[in-house]
Amino acid sequence: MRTHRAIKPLLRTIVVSALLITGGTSIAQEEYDLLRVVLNNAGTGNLDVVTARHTKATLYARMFGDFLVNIDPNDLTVQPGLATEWTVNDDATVYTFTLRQDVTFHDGTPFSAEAVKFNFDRIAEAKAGAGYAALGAARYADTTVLDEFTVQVTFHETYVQFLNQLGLRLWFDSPTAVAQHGEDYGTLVVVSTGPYKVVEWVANDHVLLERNEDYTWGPDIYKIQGLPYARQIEIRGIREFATRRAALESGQADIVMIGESDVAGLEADPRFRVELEPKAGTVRQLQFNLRRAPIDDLNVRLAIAHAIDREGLVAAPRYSGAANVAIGILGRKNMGGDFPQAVHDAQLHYDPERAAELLEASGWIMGSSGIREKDGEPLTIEMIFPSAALSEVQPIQAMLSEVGIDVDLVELQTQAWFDAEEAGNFDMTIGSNSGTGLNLMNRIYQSGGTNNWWGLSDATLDGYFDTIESALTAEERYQAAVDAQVHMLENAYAVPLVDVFYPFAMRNEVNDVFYPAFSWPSFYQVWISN
Amino acid sequence: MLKYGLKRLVSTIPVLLGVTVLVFSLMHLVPGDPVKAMFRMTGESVEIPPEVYESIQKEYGFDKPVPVQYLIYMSRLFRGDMGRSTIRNRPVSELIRQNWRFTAELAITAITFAIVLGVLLGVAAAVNRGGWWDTLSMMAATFGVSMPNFWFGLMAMLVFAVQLGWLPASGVGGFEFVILPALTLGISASAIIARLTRSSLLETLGEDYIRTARAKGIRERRVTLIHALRNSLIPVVTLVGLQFGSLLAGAVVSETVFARRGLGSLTLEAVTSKDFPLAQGLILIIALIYVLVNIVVDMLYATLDPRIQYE
Amino acid sequence: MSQPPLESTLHSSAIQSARVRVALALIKRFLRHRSATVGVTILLILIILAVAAPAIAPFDPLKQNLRQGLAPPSAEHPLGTDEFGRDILSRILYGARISLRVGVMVVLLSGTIGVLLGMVAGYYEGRIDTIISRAVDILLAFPSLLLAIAVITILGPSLINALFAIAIAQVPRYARVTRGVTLSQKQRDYVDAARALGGSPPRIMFIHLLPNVIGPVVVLASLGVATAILTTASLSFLGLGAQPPEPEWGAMLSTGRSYMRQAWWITLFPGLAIMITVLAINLFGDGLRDVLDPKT
Repeated sequence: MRTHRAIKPLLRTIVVSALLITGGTSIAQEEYDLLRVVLNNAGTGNLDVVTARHTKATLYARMFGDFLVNIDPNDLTVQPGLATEWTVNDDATVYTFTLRQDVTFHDGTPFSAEAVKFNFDRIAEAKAGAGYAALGAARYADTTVLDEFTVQVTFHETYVQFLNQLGLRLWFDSPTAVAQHGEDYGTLVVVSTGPYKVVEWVANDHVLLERNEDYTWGPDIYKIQGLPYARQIEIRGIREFATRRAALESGQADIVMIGESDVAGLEADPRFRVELEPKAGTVRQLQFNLRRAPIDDLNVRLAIAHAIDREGLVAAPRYSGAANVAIGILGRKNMGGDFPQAVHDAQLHYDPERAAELLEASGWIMGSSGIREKDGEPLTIEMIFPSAALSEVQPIQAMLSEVGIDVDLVELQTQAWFDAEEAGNFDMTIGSNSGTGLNLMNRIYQSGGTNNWWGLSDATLDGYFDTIESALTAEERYQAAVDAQVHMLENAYAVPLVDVFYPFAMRNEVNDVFYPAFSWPSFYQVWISN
Repeated sequence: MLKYGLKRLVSTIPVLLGVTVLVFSLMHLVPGDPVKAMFRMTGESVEIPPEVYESIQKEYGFDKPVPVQYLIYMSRLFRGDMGRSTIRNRPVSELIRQNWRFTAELAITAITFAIVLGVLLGVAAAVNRGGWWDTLSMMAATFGVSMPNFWFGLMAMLVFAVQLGWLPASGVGGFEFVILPALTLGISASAIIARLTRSSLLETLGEDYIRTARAKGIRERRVTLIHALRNSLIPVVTLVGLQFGSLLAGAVVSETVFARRGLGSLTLEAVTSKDFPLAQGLILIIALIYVLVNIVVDMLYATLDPRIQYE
Repeated sequence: MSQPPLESTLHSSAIQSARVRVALALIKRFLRHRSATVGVTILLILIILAVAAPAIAPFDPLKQNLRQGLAPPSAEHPLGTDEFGRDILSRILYGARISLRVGVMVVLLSGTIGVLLGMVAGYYEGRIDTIISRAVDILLAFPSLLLAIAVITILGPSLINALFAIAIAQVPRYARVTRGVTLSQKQRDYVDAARALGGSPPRIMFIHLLPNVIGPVVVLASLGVATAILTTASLSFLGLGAQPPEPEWGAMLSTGRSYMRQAWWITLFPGLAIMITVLAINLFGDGLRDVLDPKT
């Protein structure tokens, strides 16, 4: 067991370790034939910016496409991309972009203001999906072509997150190719502007990318701006953890997304190295149906929070130390690295005695069977969870039983689990969401939020969410995010559990995997040392 | 013979119709909304505006009553249109075309492996009845049926791909890619075939005409191998047909363990993500293959055993 | 396929005692069967262990100790601990109860339904036979594991639902065998005689036909128990198996596979438990087959 030694290097940030590895000796960076990457799944559906629904599409898009602007992962500033300059009006309703003039789509047609308008209008017309959300959904008014390389996007209301969203998932499809290929566009054919072209896309299996020999417009956030080193990149999806690890160990892959419990084992192997990328999004957390007794009782929720040994969860083999104890509702990555003291102070630490007191204060007295009772009713909480969370919910059940709370675990298939959440058929559930930005919490916990399935309606909290969404200065938005999370912790509307990483293991010879502000890495600048 | 085949072919129509009804009812009972499922593939929730929801529902005809949906599906099916996958957004027939050969490759290699190994073990056991070989091959066969196949697969991967580096750990490609998955898939069938071959061969060896042949002075080995084997293979052939069905289903596990593309993993994806058209198409095709294989098996019977005649 | 009919329309004591003698002879033959006795012995030990689990298991099979997760075999935990620090030996002992129960219940359920359908189809023939046979053909053509997956997706993953799903998939084999035996036995004189004496169809089926079906069905059933245990494991692997925290062997094996690289004991012991059980059942089944059904 060398788990403890393994933890230290894991906590180093990726940027630092990447610098350490490549900084010292200078090795010739040469072209090579093929980079083989294995992920947990290859994604499915379309790679059309309008209908792409799978988050892996945004990973591929970093290689087959470009964004108007890019977010620097180090300081989260907005950097140029396909747009060289941009201006935003005072209430953040009008954005004007000046575009690069040297960009062409893979089919040779030029990238211009018309192409931007074409893509945005198509997304707005479709009215659904992640692309539509990124475009501000109903806030989007229209896009105007000011001249061949100047374009103006107008919103009905303030939309401060637009630049961030542009740097995450809004790539551009060739208008000519979209018209030409009809229904095949996005499934058989993808024509965009990036350093790689999509040669083959087999949903749920793999994508094969081939270098775009004309590429010269790489953004400054990368170490290179021109031709990538790898002539081809093959990205495969493998569901089984053991099979993924075997792909790396048997020499079938260069970079593999592994499970947390494999981190220590692969770090111990001199052939490989592990890089831990904090996941952008909300943390793994317990969520409650606040409309139902006994979970509507604040004391019961606080007791649940105090009954959970989060350090224990992180240390257990499921995470094997390759994760952090969650501090807030959002992950560290979304908060720019860490939380201010206010959130740390609001932590509900592991304290079974406090949990017992809180339950007793609400009249839940320990019964003979080890389960608390009130008026002859046992303290039983129905917890629904998707099959993938099986190893997370079992320790929670055991921890809550220590303080006399009986958790009835109900395993559901993913789709059925969503339906049960939406219909409110549960007391407690477990979940997290991916995404960047501070406003990720809004649709989940704001009253009337599209994914507020908890019956949560708190005017104070809603006020904070409004500020996060529309305050014009970053400081105000950040403070509101802090206040909102402190308020949520104090009321135990949700119980943060674990802030996870995406562990990527790779051959030692692999250099410069790029981790953008959004979690999925880019392999554009990866090179192999001999 | 041809007439018999045609007759059997016609008799499969009601079975296949029944399969479509069964799949259709099962898929409608699977919890979850197919349209919402399209947006929730990653296990995370996404906003779906009502007008978009309705238009997608209309596009796939999910707004109509189930029996009407069934009739529409069937009328399209007869015109050769299997519909469009909701998740993959491609025609179902195309997805099947793209993936069938990987499963075919896997299943055929697995069944070939199972037959060769099974018959060899079975013969070795029967010829040496009560001896060392008998015990050893039957032990091997019993172990083969006693291991959960995914476990066997993972262990085989660790040994042959990770430790020894002889074979690739996962994926599809040349013949070397199919060896471990086929071994995993075929191991239990080979065990069953070995046991049946042994008992069937022992039985034939006891029959009169073999004694006659032996009395005529042909060498023992030839007697057993040629005369007896041919006759004792008849029940084995039936078994192979039946095993082929469970092999197709078992492909789900083997394909998942070894991350292979194919109809098995596609079916699992379709059922769990509520992709109606894809699940229906796939299960129908798998049932059709099963039925056809069994007709062929029955016809093989006649070739192996001249005593059997079909009207 | 089956034994000569021992029955006649009259149940004289002579025939009764003949039956007893035949049964005794069969048991004797069975006990002389080497592998069968090995199988029976192992099964008996397993049953005893399962029954005595609460008394002999060193720990509570559900008791977690997260900080002692994946502890290797030691004096305290002879088979090590799992990812939640639960004692694997205790879980295997308790798991024997679940796995054996699953196997037996699947067989009882599918056997009962299958035998009933098969007898009715074989006895009445005609339209009823056509309907039942077609239904059985449909079930046979429907890949069994996929059927189980669909059924569990509908009912939700749990051991009981897995049990149902596996049972449904096993019905056709019983129905087919029973129908075949019923068809051949029906032609025999003693059935005609029973009918002539005014025996009702249910009476004829249960009193006269059923005993002939038992032989082949018992052989199928013994192997069915093994198939059920293995299929439960496969379903667990696909995420459709037993509900936590039940110590079902298949679920232990399949959830343990994420940790098998750093903790070999976590999959090895549940895997061995399944193997030994299935092996014993197979040996037992072989013995039964040799005794009851000597021809195949």
